[in-house]
Amino acid sequence: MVEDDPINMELVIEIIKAVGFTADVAVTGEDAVKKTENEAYDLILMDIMLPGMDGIETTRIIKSKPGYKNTPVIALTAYAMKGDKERLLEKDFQDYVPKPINVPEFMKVIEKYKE
Amino acid sequence: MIIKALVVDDNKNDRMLLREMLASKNYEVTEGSDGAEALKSVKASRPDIIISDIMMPVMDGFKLLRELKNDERTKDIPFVFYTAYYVSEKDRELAEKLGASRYIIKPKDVRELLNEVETVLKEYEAGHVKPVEPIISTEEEYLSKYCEMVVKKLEGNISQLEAEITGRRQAEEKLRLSETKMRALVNTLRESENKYRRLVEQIPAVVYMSPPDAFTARIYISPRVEELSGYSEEEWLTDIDLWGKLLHPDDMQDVLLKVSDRFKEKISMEYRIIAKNGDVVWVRDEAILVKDAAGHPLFIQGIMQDITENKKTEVMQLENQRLMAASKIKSDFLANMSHELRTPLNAIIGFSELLEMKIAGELNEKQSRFVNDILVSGRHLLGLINDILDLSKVEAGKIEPVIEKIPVADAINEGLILIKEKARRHNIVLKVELDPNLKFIEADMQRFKQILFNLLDNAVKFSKKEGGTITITAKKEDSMAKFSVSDTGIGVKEEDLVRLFREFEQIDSGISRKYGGTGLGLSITKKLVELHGGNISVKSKFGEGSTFTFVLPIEQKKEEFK
Repeated sequence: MVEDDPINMELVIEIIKAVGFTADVAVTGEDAVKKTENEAYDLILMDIMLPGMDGIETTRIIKSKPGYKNTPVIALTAYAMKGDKERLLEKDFQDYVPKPINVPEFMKVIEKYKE
Repeated sequence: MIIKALVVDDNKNDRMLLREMLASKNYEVTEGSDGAEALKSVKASRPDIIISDIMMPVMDGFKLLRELKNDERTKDIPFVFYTAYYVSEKDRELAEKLGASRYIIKPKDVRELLNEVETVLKEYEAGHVKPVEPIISTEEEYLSKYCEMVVKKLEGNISQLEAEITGRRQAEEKLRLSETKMRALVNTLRESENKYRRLVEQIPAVVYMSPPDAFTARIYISPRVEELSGYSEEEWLTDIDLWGKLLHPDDMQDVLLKVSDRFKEKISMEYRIIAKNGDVVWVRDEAILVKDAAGHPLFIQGIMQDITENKKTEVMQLENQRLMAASKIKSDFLANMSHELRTPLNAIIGFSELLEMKIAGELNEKQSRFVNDILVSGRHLLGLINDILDLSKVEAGKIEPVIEKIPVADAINEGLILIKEKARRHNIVLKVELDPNLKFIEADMQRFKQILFNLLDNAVKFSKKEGGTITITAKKEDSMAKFSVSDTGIGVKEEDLVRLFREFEQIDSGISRKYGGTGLGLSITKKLVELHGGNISVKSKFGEGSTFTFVLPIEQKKEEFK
């Protein structure tokens, strides 16, 4: 889970736990890249607007690493303008969840990736 | 001894000349202007010598000589012809036959004439030279000779006249030719002048000339100046400072400073003038100093163009650019604000939903209601944020309302639900007055509710501490539906009314702190009303309350929303 806002991070972690995942967190893109080098994750939730390197660039780097090519990445963003979803799905993201998060719908999305 | 001389000549000047010359040699001079006069003079007082011209009126020299020779008393007086005419040998012959002593042709040096005269006198005195006897004695012979002579003269005269006539004719011909040439030249010049005048007058600008040292005075100005300024060509040419008088007060100083400086090579300026009808006309004025080959200034030559339209376009373009820049800043601001608002809202809505889903455990009834309130308000706030984003799209012409036939009473009630709780907290009583004739209206339900909510929200927000009343009325007026929201709140000062619908303009910044809000509410409301083809207005009394009224068409024109 990559998110720079602590309250929103807490919210997402609560939801993820409710669905049955365990969560690790990173607050910057650089932090996230480091974490993926040390640990293998089954699902990545990526905020787009981050301090420093943004979510799009971070995802590109992570996806280029061995073992992460097929790891699903879900974009989580407050950029809920028309066209944002399409723009992000064209890149390395498998799913898109606009903020503010609709909790029941978000849960459904995550459920898809629970094996 | 004084010698008496008689000078006969019809030319006064010739006579005078001879007289003076003879007098200087101590001659006593008598004068006669023709033969008859001379004859009389001789009879009165015998001269010692006669000097005579030939051609004279009344009696010519030949006749005079003949008369003298026919008289015993005068036939021996020495007689000298001094003549410019009759220069042929025939004349000399006749003169000699008539008994003339000498025949001298003018213009001979007068001194030589005097010498001859003296010689003649000496010869005479010496007596060796007898006075010439007249050879012509008979009248007939004289007449025939005389006729011969006269005919000869006439022939000579005629040929001379002919020559003169020919000469004159040639001169006249020459004159006529040169006159024709001159006329052609003048025509060419005039045509050329007309050609250039037409060219100058055709130019969609005013062409002028001024003296090199007086820019304001005009020596020439093309007639189009009347279109430019309303003042005629004549008025410009007569009033040498008309230009200066017409200058716009704001431009006068700059312009006069430019031209008061000694006129250099060229000048180019833009300024305004006040035309005769009071219009402000923008002028581009470009002038150059024309010099002769030696570099001395001859005149100033310039062109004045009406650039009012250009200026208007320029001003409009600048204004457009400014507006577009302002619009972009606003759009960016709205996009950023929207993002920043969504982030905390995400937590509010998200955690509320988690609580509602009882993921954090069971809630009692009250907690459940509170969570629901948080959720409803949060979602409404989200809706508003979305609408603000929409508004920026409305302004960019990117949004289309979803028009449907909506029941007026239901729409108003739904709007009221959103504000009921807040009104209650402010001790405000809500009243609704509906017109039974106004059942439906064609509008975008979401936007209509938003308009109403915004006005109600403002009415509550700006109510007095002790509370008050908000009255909502709906009324059918012909093809329009008139809605109004009246409050008994703090009201708006008259001078602040115009600013109400402007974006980001709360009357003072203190309001924002005290009452909250972005300052966007009324401008969004106005935009939404206008989106429906309606209009909104406000009446207010400071300290007593305000009434916002918006009028919407009951039926929407379909094509407007295509």
